[in-house]
Amino acid sequence: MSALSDLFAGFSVALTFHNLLYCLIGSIMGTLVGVLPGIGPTSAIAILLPITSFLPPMPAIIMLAGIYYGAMYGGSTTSILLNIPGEVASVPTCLDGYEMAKQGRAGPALAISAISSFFAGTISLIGLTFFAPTLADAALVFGPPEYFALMVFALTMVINLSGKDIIKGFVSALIGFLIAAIGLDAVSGSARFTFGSIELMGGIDFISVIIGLFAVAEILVSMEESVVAVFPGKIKGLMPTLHDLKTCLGTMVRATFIGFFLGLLPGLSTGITAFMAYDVEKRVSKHPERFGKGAIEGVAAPEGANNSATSGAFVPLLCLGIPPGPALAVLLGAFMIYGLQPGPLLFEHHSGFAWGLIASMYIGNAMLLVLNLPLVGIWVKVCKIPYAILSPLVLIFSFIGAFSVRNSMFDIWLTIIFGGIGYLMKKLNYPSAPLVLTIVLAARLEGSLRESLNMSMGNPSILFNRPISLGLIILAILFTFISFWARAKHLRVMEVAVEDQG
Amino acid sequence: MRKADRIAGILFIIISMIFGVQALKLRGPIGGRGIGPGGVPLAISGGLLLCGIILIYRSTKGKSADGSHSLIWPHFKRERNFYIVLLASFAYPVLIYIFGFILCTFLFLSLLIKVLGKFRWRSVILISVSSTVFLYYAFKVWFYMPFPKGLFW
Amino acid sequence: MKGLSKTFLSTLIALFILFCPVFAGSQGVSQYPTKAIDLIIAFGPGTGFDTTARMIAAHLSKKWGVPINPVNMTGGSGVTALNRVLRSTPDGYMMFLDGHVLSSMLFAIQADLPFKLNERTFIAQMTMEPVFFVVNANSPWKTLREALDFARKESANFRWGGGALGSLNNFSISQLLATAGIDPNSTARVIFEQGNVAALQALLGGHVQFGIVTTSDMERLGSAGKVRGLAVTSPERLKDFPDIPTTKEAGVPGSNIIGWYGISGPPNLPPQIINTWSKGLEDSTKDAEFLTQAVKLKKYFAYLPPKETRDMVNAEYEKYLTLAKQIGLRK
Repeated sequence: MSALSDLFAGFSVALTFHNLLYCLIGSIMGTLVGVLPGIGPTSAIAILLPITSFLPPMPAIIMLAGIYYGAMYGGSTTSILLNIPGEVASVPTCLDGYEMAKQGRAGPALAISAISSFFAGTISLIGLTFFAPTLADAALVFGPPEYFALMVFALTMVINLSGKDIIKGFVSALIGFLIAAIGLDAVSGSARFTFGSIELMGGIDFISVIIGLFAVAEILVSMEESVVAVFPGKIKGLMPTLHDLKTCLGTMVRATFIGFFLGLLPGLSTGITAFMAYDVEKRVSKHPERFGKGAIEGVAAPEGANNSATSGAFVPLLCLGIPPGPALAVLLGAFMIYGLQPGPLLFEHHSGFAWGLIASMYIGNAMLLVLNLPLVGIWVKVCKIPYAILSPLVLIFSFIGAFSVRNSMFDIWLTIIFGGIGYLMKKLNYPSAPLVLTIVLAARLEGSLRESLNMSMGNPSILFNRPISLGLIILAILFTFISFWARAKHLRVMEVAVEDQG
Repeated sequence: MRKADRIAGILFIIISMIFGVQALKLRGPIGGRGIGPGGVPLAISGGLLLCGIILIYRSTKGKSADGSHSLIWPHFKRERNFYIVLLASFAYPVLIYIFGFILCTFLFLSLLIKVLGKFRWRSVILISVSSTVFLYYAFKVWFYMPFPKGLFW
Repeated sequence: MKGLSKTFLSTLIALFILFCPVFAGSQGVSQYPTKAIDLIIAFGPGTGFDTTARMIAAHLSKKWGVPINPVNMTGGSGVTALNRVLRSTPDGYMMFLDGHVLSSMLFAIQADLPFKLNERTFIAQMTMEPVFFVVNANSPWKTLREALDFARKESANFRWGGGALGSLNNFSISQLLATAGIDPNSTARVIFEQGNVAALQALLGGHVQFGIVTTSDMERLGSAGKVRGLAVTSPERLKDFPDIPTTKEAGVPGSNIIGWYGISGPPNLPPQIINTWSKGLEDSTKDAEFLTQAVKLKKYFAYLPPKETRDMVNAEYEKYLTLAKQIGLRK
């Protein structure tokens, strides 16, 4: 198999001291950047672009790539410890991760996050190694109608994330859509729901919303409850138990596949990928009611998926030169500075470079696992920090994080306002996950719908007479029925239990 | 909970109407075909309207699907921490234009840590200064973030 | 009492440490620039816009010895960034990367922006972005004429793609069709909310049949055999792409839109600062190292001084305004 021999050649390139060093540096920086809310791999890679003027291409690109997938390792840290999602892909991790931290299980949460990231990241690289060109061309088959159908399918997750009251879940989701619609509509150039405000014309940045809804709201709620620390008791286990690992094995495999294939599709936010993995886990689980209360699979699934998505993302980048997201778009810029054209010719003309890069990603993932596992012991101490010190720091962190996305003070206001809204939502039992999901989905959903209709001059049948989009829509309808049926069954079980007791 | 549901329902109906009216004012689809910028928001507003109505209807029937306790506003005296945090959070982005990032952050941190916990001033100052300095270096120097400048600094 | 004064002293020391940077701080405007300059970039990292800005920033900061920080401020198709910069103090420490997308094209489409086109200080045009009309390599069309014939005959099935309404794609293809006597509204124009990259992806996947690229993408995808360039809008054939005819040669000389990027600042910038920048930019276009990097990125640098830039933009604006009204792009 020529791919295998190319890969070995790649390892011989990647295993030099110089390249290893930069791989390490990139991975560490990526982790740090992922930990910080707001600042993501995109800004980090952009800031470091000037190194291209004094480093040769191989170590520079290895390092920048390391930042990209390293960030996915770090993003879970603040999600689990502080309920601040490091970036969109870490939001589902907050749902169960923070609960685990409050139960004293921050150690296993952080550890399984690293283990799952490593597992998914490495296995998905195999897909990248052997199937990249085929997959790249296959991914191109997804046009606007297919994206729309996929988004509709993703919407069915809202039902699952709604908790007991489905109407409140719907309200949460619908409000998410409306929030996402505020701003300048890229397609028509109209200002939507800006009420004359310049600030609103820039739209409502979802990082601010997320930080507000999760971190700030959590602090406000805790202020009422005299919280001493996230978990003041004695922390017993730092690592996941054997039982945990056995439970999560299936999770990690599923997450790898979901993340990799969804990561292939350009334009799909990693947040959607992470949510999908979380949702699938909840569906296949025998005890779905554990999710949201500290189920370890709820951490393993999204964390694994967002890492395998990074491998998937390299497929269109390296094979077609199409960056699937903003971070890789910057990386593409780095390629171009060196005169390296990603695309089909990259593997022909610069085979050593391309395979060196892929090999370095295997190495990078291993490095990150080795780095992150011992750090668990240190991170876990954060849970013991007195809340009186932790919460103001978290607030400042949140403000800076929100500011950093667009260098805008308005975003800090948004964070505070959504903190208040999140507080109300928690008190009134409105689930916040559907809101976050639809904010992330809305742009793609509406965008692909309008693009599809443009393609067909307004005829909606285009969504149904293409096999993939039709198939996904049917699947969406099917899953909706299954979800409602499962809820009805569950509620009946609960009612019976209550009757038995009382 | 019924009262809260009713208020929420009314709120949602109002929101859906505001957005719905705005959506109707938007231009039609470009080139006359497909969906314009108001299409999807209008549908969403419709959905929200429906949900608001259902919530109100349910609250009159006396049921609450999730059996949660009613919303009690935090009592001013007993839950003073809550209001202090809220006030400080709102004050920060306003005062940052007067005091600048360094001073404002330092004040925010020291005030809150002192009020929320029972620490001596010395520890409070130490923590606040070191955190502020660290944050300043991390974000302003390494990441070049353009923090707003205050009047003095 | 002793405890209190100790606390007081430590507070004083702490405050002193905090304020040291202030005392180290700024001095007068006599020798510009004396401290870091923010270069605002209205679009996200990775776009051609952003890459150009970073290139210029890196070069000038080395030359002037002060850091020039590229700062991304995205949102509102550039309006957010404009709003911030155009209202800032004209002290030369906040400038921005300007271009067709923030000036002539933007104002041609949006009638109700909170500022005027000339409410800024144009410093210089730096790059030129000629437009390549392309099709998928599997397409049956080998010449521009064939593509246009199809568009004329089967307008509803002629799918082409562009980024947002004010994008180069939209304007240039609309102009092409209009000059060829085809009403752009009768064709299947797909506007991709995610921008030109999405349009390119759709072209590669066969979901649309016609599109544009700029030089770097043409180089990359053309040499890989994924797209076929049918024509380019520059007045003469480009050295790097000798096989691609100009639109003039292909029979549609009216198709001549070329994008540009440059540097501008807030309104009423002092002349001294304008001169420093324009001189710095002009010198960089003659600098060997800068040009080598430009070649690698396939960027064409062409400097225009401040007054000429301003005139150029205003002339372009008139042209695009007419075009936008004609094809219904203007709100």
